[in-house]
Amino acid sequence: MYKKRNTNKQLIPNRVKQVKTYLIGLLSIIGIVSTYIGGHVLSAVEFLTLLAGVLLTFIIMYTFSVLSSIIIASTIIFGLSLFVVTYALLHQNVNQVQLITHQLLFATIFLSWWLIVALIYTEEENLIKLKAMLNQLRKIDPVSGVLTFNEFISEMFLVTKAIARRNEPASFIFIKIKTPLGKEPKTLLRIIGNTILDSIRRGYDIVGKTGNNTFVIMLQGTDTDKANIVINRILQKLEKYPKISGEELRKYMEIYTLPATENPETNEQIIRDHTQ
Amino acid sequence: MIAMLFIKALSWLFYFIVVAFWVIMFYYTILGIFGIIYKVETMEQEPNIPSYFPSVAVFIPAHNEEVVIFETLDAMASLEYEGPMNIYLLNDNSTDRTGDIADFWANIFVNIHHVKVPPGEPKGKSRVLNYGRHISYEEVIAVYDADNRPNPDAVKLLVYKLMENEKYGGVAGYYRSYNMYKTILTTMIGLESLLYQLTMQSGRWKLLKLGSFPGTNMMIKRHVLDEIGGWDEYALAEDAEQSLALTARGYLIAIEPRSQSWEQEPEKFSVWFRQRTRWMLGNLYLVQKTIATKEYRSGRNLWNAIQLISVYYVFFTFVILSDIWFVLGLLGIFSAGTHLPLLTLWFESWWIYATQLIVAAFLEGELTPKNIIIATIMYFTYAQAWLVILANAWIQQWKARRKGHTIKWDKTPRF
Repeated sequence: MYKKRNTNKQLIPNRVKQVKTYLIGLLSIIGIVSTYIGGHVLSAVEFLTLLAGVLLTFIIMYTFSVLSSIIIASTIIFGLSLFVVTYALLHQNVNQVQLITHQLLFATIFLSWWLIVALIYTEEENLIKLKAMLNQLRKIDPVSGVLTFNEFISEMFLVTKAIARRNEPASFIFIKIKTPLGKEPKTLLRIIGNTILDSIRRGYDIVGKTGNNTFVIMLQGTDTDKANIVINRILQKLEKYPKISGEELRKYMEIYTLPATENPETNEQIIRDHTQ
Repeated sequence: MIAMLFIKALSWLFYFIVVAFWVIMFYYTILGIFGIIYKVETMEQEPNIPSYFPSVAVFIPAHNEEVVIFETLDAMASLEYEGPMNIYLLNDNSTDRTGDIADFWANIFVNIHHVKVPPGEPKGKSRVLNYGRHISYEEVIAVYDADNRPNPDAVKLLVYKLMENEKYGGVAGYYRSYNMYKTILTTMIGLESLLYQLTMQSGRWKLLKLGSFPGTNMMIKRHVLDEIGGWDEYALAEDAEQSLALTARGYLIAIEPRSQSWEQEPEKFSVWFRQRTRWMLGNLYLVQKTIATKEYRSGRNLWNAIQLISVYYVFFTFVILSDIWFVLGLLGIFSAGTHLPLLTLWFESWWIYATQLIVAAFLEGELTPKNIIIATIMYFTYAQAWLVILANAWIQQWKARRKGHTIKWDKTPRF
């Protein structure tokens, strides 16, 4: 019988997430309670050895990986068993119940803390990977609100093909900001990015931040003469921007226009050549 | 007989030390709990928007800060506030490109001003801030260090808090480290600052209505500043000094954890050591002043005075004595009070310190496996360095007093 496939699958099923949360919660309770009991029951030497073991495992985990820490964790756990057996054999009048209790307590404390950190660490590693993927997929520059370099180039390819088909002109406007030490003025980039977006035909023209301090606008169906009208519009809007001296800002800006070609690769080279 | 009496007296002394340790531990645990309550309460509440927005002056004292000042002024340019606000970069005779960078921002933003502070003595942050006070007119003054990058809402949140109550003479926000994960040292400093703000700022405010200025991301009413005569130009820890002066006049310093600014922490041990020694010297100067000035040890300030003296003198003596006691015990020369719960005390000290660090990191979204590990080792490493710094500060203070010198303000290098 045909079974309908679930197309609305979540990346991580809820049940898995819940199990992980409960597990960390349960381990935390076990860890706290057993450490507290251990602080009273275990001797100073036992407790310090435990502490050293936990720290060593964490250091291995941080320096190498969670998998490497499993090796040291199992060595400690099995080594402890061997030590207890040997100790019991060598000492005839040993209190075996006490010995086993101490070993169990030691192992519980050690394992619970190691598992908590290992679980959180694995989650953190996943998060870092997801963030890296998100950055790659990001289309909008978070500072200025315009397209990122990669997204601008891919949009430019589509626009160039469209204008070539329609046999229309197109032009680029380059806006560069010159700063002391060549640093990136985030506030100015945000203000200029917003102003450009307010000055162009959204959904028709495209704007991207192609370098630290460079914006590129691609205007469809517009030659360089008409592009100068857009430049004036941007500058007028910046003049009226609150808290800003537009006249002074102009001194730190370089604005010019260039015609776009009908070849996307040539256009990409133009953009790269004029990006700071 | 005399030897017996001596050992008995020592035993009693150590018993007293153990009890004193317990008291301090208890106090800090309670502060931690109250800090958590205040922090959670604040994060769940919306800020009270005032009906009147006073004019604000933001002071940024700077001396040779070209490494960091561009980003600082960039963050300042993004500050949001409903009322009038002016940002003053107080350039204290910089010889690097600090001035050029300040001009770049001041030319573009009409509310950013590059102020060249004339040379003068004594050198330091307080004199520069006092100059700023004389050339500005705004009703409230905010102070940021030259490496700070406040969140866009940092200043307005400070104003909202300040306007909540007439008795609030000033307000202090939180500071965070933007280079917290650069080195192990910066991570430790970052965690310690989170713990300090949780216990000593939020905790003390919730429990005792006491707060203190952190020297950055802070705000003070101009009339209150005039009343206390501005900043003490000879104080090395001008912020702590000002906090006592304000409290002595019956004003409160409120804490606003939602207002956050990001600063740079020393990345090298030597730089950190010098910076902390200067802070320590500032606090020792303050202890002297507290003992000499009646109003600094009465009323609400009494608690501040007890804490200052107990931390910088009594507690330090206890720790040194207990260390001697421990070494003598190890060598078998002297063993006192085997009935004392030393291991438990030691374990609980570490446990409480590490747990508080972890909770503080959690509350600020900084709980990572690496931070958990570092929090567990900080008691044996970072916290112990405090003793060396305090001893160094004592020696420097004693040398300066013997030679009749004034200890000079020392700028923290940037990275």
